[in-house]
Amino acid sequence: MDTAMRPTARRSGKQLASGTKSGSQSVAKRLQNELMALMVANIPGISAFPEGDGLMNWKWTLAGPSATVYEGLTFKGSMTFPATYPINPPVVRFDTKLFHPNVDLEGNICLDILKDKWSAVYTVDKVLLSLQALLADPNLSSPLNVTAAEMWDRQSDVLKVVLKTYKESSDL
Amino acid sequence: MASSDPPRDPHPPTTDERPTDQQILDYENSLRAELLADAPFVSELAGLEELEKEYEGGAEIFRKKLQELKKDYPIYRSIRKDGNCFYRAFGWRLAELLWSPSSASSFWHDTAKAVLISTRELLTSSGYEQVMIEDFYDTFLAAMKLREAPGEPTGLEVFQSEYASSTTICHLRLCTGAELKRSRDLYEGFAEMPIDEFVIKSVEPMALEADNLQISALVNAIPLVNIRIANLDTTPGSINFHEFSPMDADAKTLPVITLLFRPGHYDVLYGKNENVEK
Repeated sequence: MDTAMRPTARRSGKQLASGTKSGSQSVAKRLQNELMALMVANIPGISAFPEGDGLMNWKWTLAGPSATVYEGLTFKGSMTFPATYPINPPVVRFDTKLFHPNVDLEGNICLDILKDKWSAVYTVDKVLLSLQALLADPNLSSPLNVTAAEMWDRQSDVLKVVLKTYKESSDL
Repeated sequence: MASSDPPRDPHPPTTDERPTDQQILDYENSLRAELLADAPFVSELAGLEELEKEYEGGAEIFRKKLQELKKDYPIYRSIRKDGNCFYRAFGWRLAELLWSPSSASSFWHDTAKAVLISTRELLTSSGYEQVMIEDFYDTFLAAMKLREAPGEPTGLEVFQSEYASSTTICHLRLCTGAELKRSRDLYEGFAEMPIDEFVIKSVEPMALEADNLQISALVNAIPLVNIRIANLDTTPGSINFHEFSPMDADAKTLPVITLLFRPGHYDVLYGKNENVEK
């Protein structure tokens, strides 16, 4: 949580070719490819960039989807890649506090494609787009945040808590 | 941690009492890893007697079928039980056939080389992005010893090294997915859901076992072998075989890969006169 409000690393002219300390060459190559593709695609509402040395830890930002209680809010998070990426999924977390049925208060996310439905053809941008879709369309049958799930059909109440939670996170 | 939340928090923590999904997943993975720790991805050759031992106290029907099987297939090689066994068995047997001295200068070998090299186009034409599949493709060709790959494992090493082995399996999964999408009309009726969804849910994720539909698709994606599967089950009578042959190839001219199926698992069987890689 101490990283919650640290500014997300931007396109800071980071040396893309500077290799990694951990993980095999092919992981680094794959992540470099993804980074390039992400920068070229420039998808609205989504950004992600490696943080610190190497390519194994990324920070990302995500715009709340329009016509949802998250509209107008920007969420930050992290993505940590295992040495076996993309055979195994990255660990993805929200740093910004978020009131949502499938995200707990520590930022852990319950999303099948990050667990047993992961496959090696998923990429950083697909993961972030799936997170955006999850914000808009939660899976109420397996909630991490039961309160949010139970409240979900009362959207005006949800909105209040969403905004309050977001403000608390921003005030930290 | 949640304990640092203010007491008037409108949404009480829900995660204190139970582990997170990630913890559960890690635990399951560690259990699985523990169970599998001693089992190689692809084992040494063994006589079918080894398999008979497993059934010594079991049902008579298994022992009878194994005895019958042993007459034609006296040797087998067990494959790790991790949900990837069909793809691993297929990849391994294909590699063995390619390396076999007797196939070295054959027409089949030349065809095989061309077909396997063209799997990149198979994937890209089905919508997989080239930069995302290239590593799997390169490792796969190196595994088949069709491409020089300095510093990367080749051949048997690939099948014993976790990352390279998984990567090779991943390529075979994507070939299966590409074939399902390319000839979707053919397969859709068997999938119980739209093909794209089937590929995402039942083909691409690792550790999900192949069923008849995936097997048919892989045989057509890489139309180089017939697959013969011996079913070791409790149905009365003799052991029965399922055959899978590529549609657009002269199946009679192609080598046969024989697998032993027990519910949820495939191992490799070898006929009496088959060349095997030691």
